[in-house]
Order: sequence, then C-alpha cells, then structure tokens
Amino acid sequence: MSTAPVELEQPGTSEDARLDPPWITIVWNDPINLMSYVTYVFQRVFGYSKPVAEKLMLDVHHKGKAVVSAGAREAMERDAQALHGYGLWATVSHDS
Amino acid sequence: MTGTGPEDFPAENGDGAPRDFNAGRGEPGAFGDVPGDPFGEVPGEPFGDEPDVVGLFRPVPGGAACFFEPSQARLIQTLVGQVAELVRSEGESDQARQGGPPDELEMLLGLSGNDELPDDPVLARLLPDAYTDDPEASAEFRRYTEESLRSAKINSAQAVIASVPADGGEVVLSEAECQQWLRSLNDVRLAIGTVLGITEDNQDLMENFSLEDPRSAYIMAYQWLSELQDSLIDALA
Repeated sequence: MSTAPVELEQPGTSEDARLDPPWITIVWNDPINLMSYVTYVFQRVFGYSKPVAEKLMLDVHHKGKAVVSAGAREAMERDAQALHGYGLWATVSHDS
Repeated sequence: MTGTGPEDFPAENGDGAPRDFNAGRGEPGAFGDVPGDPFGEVPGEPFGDEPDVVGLFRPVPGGAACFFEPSQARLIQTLVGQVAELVRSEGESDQARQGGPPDELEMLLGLSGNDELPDDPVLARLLPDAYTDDPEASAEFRRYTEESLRSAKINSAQAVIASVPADGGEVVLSEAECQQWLRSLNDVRLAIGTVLGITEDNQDLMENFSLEDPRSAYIMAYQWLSELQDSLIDALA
C-alpha cells in the first residue's frame, strides 16, 4: 500500500517520530459516515482544530484516505482503536 | 463520506429487500421488524414542518435535547437494540465456535478468542481490521481490542435505549450521553447503510425511491438518523 502522497505535514507529529520511519494511522473514505461527524471525531480524538480536522476529512473524502496521526506503533493502535469506537474505518501502517 | 441533505443523494433503483441484520441466525428482532412509518403522517416529508422542534437535537446547557414522537422513539429503540443484539450475539457464537468454555484468563483480561474479521458484512464494518497488509497484526489487534469495542458499542446502545421514553417525549442528554448517542446512532447508520449497500455512487437511492420499495422504511429511517446525528453534532459545536 502506498502511503507516501498523503499528508506529509502531520499535525501532532513529534520530532522523535520523524527520526525513524513512523507508524501511521490511516482513515479510509466510506460512503456512510457523515462529513460533519468525521470532522467532529478528528477534533475529539486528536484535539485537532476544526480547520485541521476539516482538511483531513476532505482529504479522506476526495483522496480516499488520509494519514491522521503518526508516531509509535502502540500509539497508532490506540488511535485506531479510538476511531473504531466512533465507527471510522481506520488502519495502522508502517510509513516506510 | 456524505452530507445529510437530500441534495447529496442524487438516483437509482436498487434491487431486493433489505437484509435482516440477524439473518440466518434465527434471532428475533429482524431488520423487518421496524415499527411502522417512523415519520407519522408525512411520508415523503420525513422531517415535518418544524424540524427544529421534533426529532432533531438542539443545544441545551451541558448537552443536547430532543423531542421524539412515539414512532421515532420506537424506531430508535428497535434499531439500536437490533445492532446491540447483533454485536452481542456474534460475540457469544464466536466463543461457542471455539468449543468448550471461554478461557477464564482471556475473559479476565478482556481478550477476545476471536481473531478474524467477522463474516457478516455489518459486523465486519462495525469491527474492522486494523491492518490492511498484515493479517497477523490484524489478528493480534483484534484479540486485544475486539471485546472492549463490542462492550463499548453495547454499553452505548443500552444507554441510548434507556434514555428514550418508550412513548416518546423530551430527551435531555449530558455531554457524556451525547457521545454515547453519537456512536450508537453511527453504528445504526453503518448497519443500515451496509445492508442497503450504500456507496459513493448510488446515493441517489436516498432521493429517488418508491414508497412501495420494500427498503423505503429503512431508507427513510437512514435519512432521519443522518439528520438526527448531524443535529447532535451541531448541538455540541
């Protein structure tokens, strides 16, 4: 799976995470979740501002997926778990 | 993803009746059991003349509130209950499928004996894989998280059902309860949307459907639940 084109500038990406190829959490587009809901969930789960959350939502909507967080694998699995709790289709991947 | 307005759902006729969430399981509470027309006496005009008053959330201090018609209250209880039942029953059958009693240590740790994507498309959508390219990692993730995900969904559903008066009426939610409602409403929308086979390309089904279409009750329910969820998000903003 190619993850390169999506979101190089990650909100929430720490300096540490850039030293090693980080793990990433990807949210995939789906035809059911409301755009307003996805934006809300991004704000709620990640604490992103509304503009950042909306941009990510639109990336998911238009590009089919977007990287919503990056960092240690365990943290990405926690993010995916939280997103699954909201019914978003999230997966974890190694950004290599 | 989708918006909520009818303009976001341009046209097509699908095929076949909606499938029972619990089809093939011999469970009660079939998808076909949705009580009547959820929108009272205005089919085709699901939200009535005063959408701000009945069947949509509005902000109140500390949370959100909504007045539900009796039919709307029954619809919520039925659909939310069905999804909870599906999530719960499949969990039990997973253990039964493994044979023997459930592992006590696994139960203690909240682990799931299950490590595969559910066969049922609705459950597969509600409990998705966490890795697209690593089946082993997906299985491991599922073993450690699926049980708590199921429990959270069931808890939210129970909270929603408990907060709706059976005969309708005013529902006032705290912020925490709003979160449970958001998740539970979304689970129901995911379930109905999956059963109806909603895709980016056939959103027109939402706008152009015949009331004689066996799916029409679910399409209208889906539309209303979308508006309801959207109103709750607005109320929380």
